[in-house]
Amino acid sequence: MKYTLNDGLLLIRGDHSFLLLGKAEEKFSLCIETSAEEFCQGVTPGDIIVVSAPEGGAIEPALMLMELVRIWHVPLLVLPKDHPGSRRISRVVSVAPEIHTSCSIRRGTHPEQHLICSSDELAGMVLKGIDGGVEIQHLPGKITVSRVNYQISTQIS
Amino acid sequence: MCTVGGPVDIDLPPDRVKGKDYRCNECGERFKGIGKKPMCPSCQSEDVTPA
Repeated sequence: MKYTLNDGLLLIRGDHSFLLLGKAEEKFSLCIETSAEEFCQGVTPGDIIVVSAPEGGAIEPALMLMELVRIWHVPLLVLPKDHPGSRRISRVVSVAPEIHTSCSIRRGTHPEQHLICSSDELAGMVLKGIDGGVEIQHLPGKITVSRVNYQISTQIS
Repeated sequence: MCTVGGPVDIDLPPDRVKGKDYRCNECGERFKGIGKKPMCPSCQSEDVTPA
């Protein structure tokens, strides 16, 4: 199934989890910072950015996370394995031309760029950036896909 | 890359993430790149050379 997507976002929602999907609008170098090294990944327009919330929750934090990466190119910080704070992390991000969702991988332990961890109900999909939109393959039957309209505005007085 | 903005819960085993060393031909920045499209983190140039 193909969906038109220019500068907006798509919400792929199941009963208790969701994915938020957007496309990179410009090229940028996305840096991933570990405690010992920095890795930089080239991102080009049309690459897709996916925020996965395997446990669901509010859309807005995922939206903010999406925009921090997509618009503001905020570096991603990596916690060491078994860090006590990792249990409080409930959203993950993946950036690549094509991304596969999987529930059979341990969250946060798969550096391969084409994989993102998801819940069972959203696993098995292939999300691919195409000209003018995105293509979603193997969309499960009970899953809904919606466009997300939002506005971030600031007033300082 | 499955990571989270801000602190994240990802483990990057060195045997699975092998960034290549690059040097930017425009600004001279040296960095470790991953993926198929290495790009300078300082000036965003794609004119980079394996170092």
